[in-house]
Amino acid sequence: MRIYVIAIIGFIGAALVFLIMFVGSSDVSPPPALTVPQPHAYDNPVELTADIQVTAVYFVPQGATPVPTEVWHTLLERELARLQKFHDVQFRGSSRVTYTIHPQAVVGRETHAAYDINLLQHNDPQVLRPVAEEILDGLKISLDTASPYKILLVLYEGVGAGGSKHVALLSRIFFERSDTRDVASTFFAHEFYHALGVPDGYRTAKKVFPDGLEVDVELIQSRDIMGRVRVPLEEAYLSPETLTALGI
Amino acid sequence: MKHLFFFTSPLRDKILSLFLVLAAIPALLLGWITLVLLDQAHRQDVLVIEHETLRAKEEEVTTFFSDLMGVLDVRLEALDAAEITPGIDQWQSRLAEALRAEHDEFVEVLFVSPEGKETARASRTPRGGPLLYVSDLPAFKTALSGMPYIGSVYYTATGPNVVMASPVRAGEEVVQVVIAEIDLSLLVRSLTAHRLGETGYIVLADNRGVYVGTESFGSVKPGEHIVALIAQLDETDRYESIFSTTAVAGAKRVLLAGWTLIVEWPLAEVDTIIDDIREQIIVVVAASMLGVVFVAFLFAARIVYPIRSLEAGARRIEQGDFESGVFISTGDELEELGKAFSAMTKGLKRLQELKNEFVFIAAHELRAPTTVIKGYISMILEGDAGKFSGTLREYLTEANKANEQLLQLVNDLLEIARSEAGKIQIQVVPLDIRESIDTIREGIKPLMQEKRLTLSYERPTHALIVQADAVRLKEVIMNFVTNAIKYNRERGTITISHETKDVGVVTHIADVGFGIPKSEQGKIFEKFYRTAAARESGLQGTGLGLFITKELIERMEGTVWFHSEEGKGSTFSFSLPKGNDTLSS
Repeated sequence: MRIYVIAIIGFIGAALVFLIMFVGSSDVSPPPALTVPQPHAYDNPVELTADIQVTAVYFVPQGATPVPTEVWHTLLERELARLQKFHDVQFRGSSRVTYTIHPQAVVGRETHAAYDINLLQHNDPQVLRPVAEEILDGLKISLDTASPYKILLVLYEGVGAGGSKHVALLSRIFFERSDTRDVASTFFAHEFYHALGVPDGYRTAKKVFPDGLEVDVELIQSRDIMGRVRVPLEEAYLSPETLTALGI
Repeated sequence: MKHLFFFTSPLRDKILSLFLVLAAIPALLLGWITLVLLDQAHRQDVLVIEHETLRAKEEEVTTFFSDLMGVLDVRLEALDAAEITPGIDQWQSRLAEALRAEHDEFVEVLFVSPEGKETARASRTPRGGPLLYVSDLPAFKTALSGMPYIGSVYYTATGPNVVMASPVRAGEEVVQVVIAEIDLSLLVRSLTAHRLGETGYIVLADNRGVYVGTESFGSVKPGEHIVALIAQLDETDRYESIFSTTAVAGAKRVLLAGWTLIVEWPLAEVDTIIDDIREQIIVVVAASMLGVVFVAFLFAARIVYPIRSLEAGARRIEQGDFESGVFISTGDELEELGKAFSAMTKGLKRLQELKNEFVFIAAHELRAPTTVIKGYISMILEGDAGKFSGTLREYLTEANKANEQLLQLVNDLLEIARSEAGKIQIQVVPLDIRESIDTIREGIKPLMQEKRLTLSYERPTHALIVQADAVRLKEVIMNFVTNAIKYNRERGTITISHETKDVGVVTHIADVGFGIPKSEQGKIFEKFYRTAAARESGLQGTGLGLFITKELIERMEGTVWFHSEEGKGSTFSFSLPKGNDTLSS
């Protein structure tokens, strides 16, 4: 048989294969490459927060009366679990919080007054330093590791609340007072996110009344957990802008 | 049938090629166009269905936001300026509560004074704390400027939420701002519950391209950015979905909120029907192609076959077969050609018969005077006519040789003519071939002595009975032996031997003479053929001996063959059917 006959039959075969494989069949594109979240500390892509390890400590200033262990331990367990859940929802599962609770209460070397912690200075890193350093020294813990991102979370047997990079502190009293106990978990989470470097979502401004009276007021810049704390944790959230700054 | 397809025929190939090109290409084009049109029509249908779904859902989402915005769009017409002074919050509280109760989706509704201070708050769950200053919020700023506001989605433990805000007007003046938190769970559930076909689904993304869902869908979690997917939809509508499997997709922007609705319909369902139809079309096209190829072969073979028959007929005539004729039954000109060819064959046969008759008569008429000449020359040479000179003897001897050769030629021609006329009588009887050879051995001694040849006959001790005509068998053996003598070398040997095989008794006559060149071996049994070496050697011969021998052997239902090597000699073999052991008397 001549080569051109074989070539024609080959061409017909190839045309049939082409017809079967390509003509009228769906050309399917690959899936889109979605941006994979790389959670990190606030405005700091270097400090990754995909894995957050919390060390929770019940800290009692000198002279203060600690509550029974089961009380503070149960409270920490419950609040850390709620925090985990909240964090998981906000970070779409891309960041995981694990925690350990120090089994014994840590008693401070100073009295409450000496630590000088108060609500108005709650995000001042200097305010928390004495308590944090004392606990870290006592427990031989270092927070300076690249991964996981370590946080010291202090349940404070006194008055006050605050948070700065790697450290968060909240008075246990928040969970008892009638005006704060419903939203104490939100305060707890609020301070936790300070430990990730997130700033407050409000600012202090001068309000001048028509009669010339001038008072300081808090002007919220976000309705999320960093700007508006007095909502139940189940209704609180991190704003899209805050999440973007956290790498989400 | 096999010979129809596998013989070599340039004409068949040309017809085949032409047929294939003319038949297959239109069929392929038709298949291609059908598939393309079918695909386009199907895609169009799917797009229409998707578009309708998106349009309906876009209307649903727009209605959702419009209704909420309509509720928040408060106009104060009955109150004077004093009654809406910031700080007097009685009406705001009542209105906030009334608005919140209007829709289940309202999580919180609050009024804000133009200075940015919350004046009233109504929440689904009681919320304490002081009223706040919110003048920095984009929702407040936008609404204060007179524009409605719909924010981006955020997630609480209960699901996706969004903030909406609207100006509160007294006349044209914005006297308050109402801000509301909206629970999107019901809207999202309504969208996700919708099905396109059985497996298609709707996905909602907010104005930043964030997936608005109540739970994970495929590999996508609520709140995850799917901007890349929305961008991809501008380029293609068929892709590997991140939500499920391969899907055909479409998107539509909800203008009111700047959000995007995406519909995806898995190809497994979308293409179910079209795949079946496509498969059927392909099967039909493929079957057509196979049919075309087969028919093309058949068609080409049908045209070529009669031509081949004519060719075969011509070759048979070339070999002297005028009986077969050519039978073509195509019912067309080719059949007529076949009939004409057969008629021509009959004419040729008649001519052949006339020629044979002429040869027979001529040979017969020549033989008598030639025989007479031979007799007289013999008598003269034997001295019956008295003494004659040596020169005359020499001349007469040469004349006698020439006459012998002429007589041989006449006898051969007569033999062939008889054979072709079917006049040779063959009477096959059982006989012992050894006896035929014994008779010949005596007769050839003088010839052997001339070349000082040695004859070696491996004579079997038992009788070798064959079915043969006694006279013709001697003629056959004599022919082979005389050839072996004639074409042998001086002092050479001739060996006669036998083999008994299934086909019969095989006799070999071998010499050590010239041998036959390979190029001439195919023609050795042809009429009047003599090898170049024989012609150049000056040896007498007519070139008819082997032809006659072969004819005789075949008439006795035997076969003949030979093996020869140039310069080393030849071995001619022939077989004859075995006879029974009882010899005829």
